[in-house]
Amino acid sequence: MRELILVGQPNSGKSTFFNALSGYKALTGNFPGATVTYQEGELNLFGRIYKIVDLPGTYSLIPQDKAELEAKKFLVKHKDATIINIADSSVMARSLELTIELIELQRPMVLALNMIDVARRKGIVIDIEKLSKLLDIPCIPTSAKRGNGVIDVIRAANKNKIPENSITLKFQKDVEEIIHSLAKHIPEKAVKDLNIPKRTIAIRLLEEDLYYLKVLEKYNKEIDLQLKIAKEKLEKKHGKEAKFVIAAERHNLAMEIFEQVTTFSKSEHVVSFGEKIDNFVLHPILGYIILIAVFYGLFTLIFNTGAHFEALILERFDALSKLIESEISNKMLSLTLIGLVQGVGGALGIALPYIVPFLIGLAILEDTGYMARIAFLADSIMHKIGLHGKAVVSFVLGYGCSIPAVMAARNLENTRDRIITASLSVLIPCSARTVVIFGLVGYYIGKWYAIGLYIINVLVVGIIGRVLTKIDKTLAPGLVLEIPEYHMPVLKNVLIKTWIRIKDFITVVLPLLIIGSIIMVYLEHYSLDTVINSALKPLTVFILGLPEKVGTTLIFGIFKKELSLMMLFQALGTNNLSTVMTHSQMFVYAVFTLFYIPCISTIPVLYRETGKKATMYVIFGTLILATILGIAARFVGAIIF
Amino acid sequence: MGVLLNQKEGQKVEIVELKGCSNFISKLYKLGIKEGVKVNIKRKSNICPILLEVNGSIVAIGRGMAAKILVRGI
Ligand SMILES: Nc1nc2c(ncn2[C@@H]2O[C@H](COP(=O)(O)OP(=O)(O)OP(=O)(O)O)[C@@H](O)[C@H]2O)c(=O)[nH]1
Repeated sequence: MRELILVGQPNSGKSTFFNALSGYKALTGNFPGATVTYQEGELNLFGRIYKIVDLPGTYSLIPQDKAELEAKKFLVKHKDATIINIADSSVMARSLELTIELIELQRPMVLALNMIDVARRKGIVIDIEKLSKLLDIPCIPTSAKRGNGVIDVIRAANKNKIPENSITLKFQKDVEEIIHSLAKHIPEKAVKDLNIPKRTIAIRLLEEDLYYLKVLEKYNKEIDLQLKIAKEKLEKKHGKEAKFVIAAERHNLAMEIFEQVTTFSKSEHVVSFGEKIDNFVLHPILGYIILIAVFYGLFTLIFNTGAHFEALILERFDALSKLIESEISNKMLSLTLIGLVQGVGGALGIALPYIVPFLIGLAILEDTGYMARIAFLADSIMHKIGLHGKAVVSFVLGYGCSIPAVMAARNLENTRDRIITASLSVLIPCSARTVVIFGLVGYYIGKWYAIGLYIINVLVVGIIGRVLTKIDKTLAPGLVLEIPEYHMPVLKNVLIKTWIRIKDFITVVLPLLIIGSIIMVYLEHYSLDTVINSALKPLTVFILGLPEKVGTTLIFGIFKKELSLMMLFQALGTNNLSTVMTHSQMFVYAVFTLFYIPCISTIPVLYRETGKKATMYVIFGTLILATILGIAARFVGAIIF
Repeated sequence: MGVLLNQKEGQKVEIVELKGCSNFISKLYKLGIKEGVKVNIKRKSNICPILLEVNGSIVAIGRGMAAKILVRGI
């Protein structure tokens, strides 16, 4: 079976290209690896079956983080695959650099000049025939969004054209000489195993590509010395690190090709529609007002649709558990079934009604290009915490649900930012904790106290962030972010993206929710709650000054945050909490539930994204944090209530 | 000559030098910001990052980073 691999820079329209083929696709799956998620599909075209893989977007093949390394490994290891390079033709000069890197691999390849419609609109005219000749590969103009040219690309891939012109794609003479002299020392066996030409391996070594350095170690220790000599030569001659010499050479090459094949039909710079919008959206004052309005709109929409479906779905599941309780006499069976029904009901009734619209909203924000602009606006605020603009995405998501928030931290380049952002995002009150804040504090004490809690939360997150970024002093390089053009969102893309994320949620979270619910049902049935309550007494009664009975509700809260409030009514046996709890106690309780341990569904996701150590720190750290803040709330409560 | 952070909106400048760690430079290189490249300063305010036009694409650069990029007006 032929294998096709899509490679392209971020925002080049790779996913759109992949999805445009869905009419011919039999199977699609996504592989959530440790660090990268890629999509895979099976194509049936012209009577042939293809396997097509969509790798995550990357600006260059020289990996800088784990995700890029994984993508790169995949590419190098699939020696027989045909590479389909998706390039954004409206930013050709830069896209060509990745294209040249790919050509260096000497594999069968096709170049899809995507977003050709955008390029035309901008007045960029590309001489495709000439480009094709210079690069010695088929170049096909496409507009993936409309499906134009997509099939032609696959057809061209059938030619299996390996780019062979080594004359036009050469660097400066002296650089080539140094590359050549290093290449001589690369063992034949390595060339054969990697299936990559010597010159390319030498170039990659000079660029300090971790992947090749590691592979070469196996064969020949002497190469280290040769590499050092070559690097020194380059550095001495060009006055900068070898890897930057190579990067600059490649850049010049790309520019040269770019200049040869493109002309501009519009000489005057016309202000595009997108730029006009940006005058408002990126404005230092108006921009923030628009940002708040967008989120206000989004959240209202989510809560309204969510609440509607929640009531509808929970009703059905409640009826079902009642039915099981009355119809099935075997206690074990009925308890287990009730747990199962409640678990599934919880997922369908509480999580999905809020998470699905939220993820759709998120996909739209990403697809239109607004998400990058949010990062732009938030950069200065995030800097106060020691992070940069891109981290804001996780925090924003956190108000909906911690799970997508933790997952979104993946987009950050360095591990430190990723771990800190993911850990902080679980402190943001998700929609479930909103239930506790508004249902308890807002309802019994007053709306302004509830809003006050949100403000306190932001301050605490800020302070903790500040502390964490101070502890780990690894220099955060700051924001460098491409701001893509605005695009009309494509329904198909949005839905597919949402579906992929939901699937992640279902496979990771649903099983835990079911197990948790079954355990809860048993606990309740065998009245183990008194045991738990007295075990937790030191914390609940002595430290926080709460009624003893709230113990179990806190345990339930770990399963699902909103349950703590629902169980509170049950545990205290009342419909009016103000008869059994003082305002001060309610306040303490809300503060504690706001900050303590992330819910059981978030923990595995956190574990997957940040590792064991960080997850442990988060679990115990939040517990300590919640206790300290709970004590503080107790003192404050004693004064103000 | 001066750092990017001190330039004005609407100016056209050429990148002269990137001061900073290797990681920082690689990040900029990937988006086409290299020595000798000419960029347009599209947008600059007192709080937000700096918005550049680099070979047809728009790139936002944090203020801290902009302080480490040496440019020359053209
Ligand atoms: N006008 C136009 N828009 C396109 C074209 N291809 C994709 N788009 C739009 O460009 C945006 C980005 O496309 P994606 O497919 O998400 O880009 P990607 O390369 O997968 O991006 P990453 O997920 O960051 O790797 C979307 O809003 C698409 O609708 C095209 O050929 N023409």
